[in-house]
Amino acid sequence: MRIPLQLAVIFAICIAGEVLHRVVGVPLPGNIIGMVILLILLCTKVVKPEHISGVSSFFLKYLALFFLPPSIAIMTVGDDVLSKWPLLLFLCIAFTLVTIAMGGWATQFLIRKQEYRENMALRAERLARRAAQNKTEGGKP
Amino acid sequence: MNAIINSPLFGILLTLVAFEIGVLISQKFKYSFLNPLLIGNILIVGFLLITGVSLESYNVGGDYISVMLSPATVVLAVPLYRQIQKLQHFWKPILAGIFTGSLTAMACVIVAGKLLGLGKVLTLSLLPKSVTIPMGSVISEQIGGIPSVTIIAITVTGITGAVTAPAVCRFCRIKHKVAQGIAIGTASHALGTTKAMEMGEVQGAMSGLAIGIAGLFTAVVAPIVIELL
Repeated sequence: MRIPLQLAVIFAICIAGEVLHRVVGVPLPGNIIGMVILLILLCTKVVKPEHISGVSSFFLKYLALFFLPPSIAIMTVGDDVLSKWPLLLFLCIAFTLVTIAMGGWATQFLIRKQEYRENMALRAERLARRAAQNKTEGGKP
Repeated sequence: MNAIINSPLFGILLTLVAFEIGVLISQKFKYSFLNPLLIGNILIVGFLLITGVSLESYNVGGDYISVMLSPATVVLAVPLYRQIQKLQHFWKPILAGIFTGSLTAMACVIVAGKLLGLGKVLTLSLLPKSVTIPMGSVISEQIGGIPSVTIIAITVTGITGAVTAPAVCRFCRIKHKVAQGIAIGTASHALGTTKAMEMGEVQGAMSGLAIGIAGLFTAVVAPIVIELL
């Protein structure tokens, strides 16, 4: 698709998300609803990734640029926030380490559990097959 | 002169130049903490403070770029869609891991907010700090935080993840590649994902997957969690 049409599709999805949020009252931000809409369109193959690849790769590649102007509003925060910045910096760093550890441990623990279960199932299946084989072989003189 | 400063082109040009300088500096020095967004922010704030141009004048143009946040979030569905096959096998551990990580991030902020007396607005601003910026800034706005504080907190969080992720995984014995990727993406969104991609293909893919799900989960849970405040 041509770039103007790709943009039109993406913007239409954005507006649909906003409508669902503001008019219908879905309790999620409009842009996140938009993301879910696009995901559904992709999963149902109504939209193919290559249809919108020009626009999607542009936005994904320069993602950080679009957050620069909103971040400038940091100028307007009060002195009460600014005076706490060393504490806030420390908290952000410490919490990130804790979050990585907790998320990683939980995922790894459950994956290992699932793998163990799958291995046991596989082994049980193999044993059963061997037993059945022995029986048929044993039946022959 | 006022006519020039109040033209949208002024804010747009300032943003583009500051961002590109940020990219150049971060590429030249290769330190993860020299993030283009962080450098660009410092350059623009510095420029406005020195020249005395008001934030309102800057925003005349800046808003044209900010409005693109919405489509930029929507297209995050594309990498999410590309990874959807990999989700299928380990979907239970992956979802449970992302939920654990996101809840940990929120619980830390709430506990610290209470213990250290950060105040309600600041606590709410920090709450979505592990979520990717387009989602986090909107979540922050919706629950009553200050989006600009959230964006800075998210950036610091992302840079921390990108710098420390391999060491944390080693120290905490998180060896499974899927678990490493999920942990990094959940805690430190797209910025951490850049490091996860360096660690390996599986880690990168899983980290990218975790960004969107952690964002959705936080968007749904954050308004419920703040009722506890």
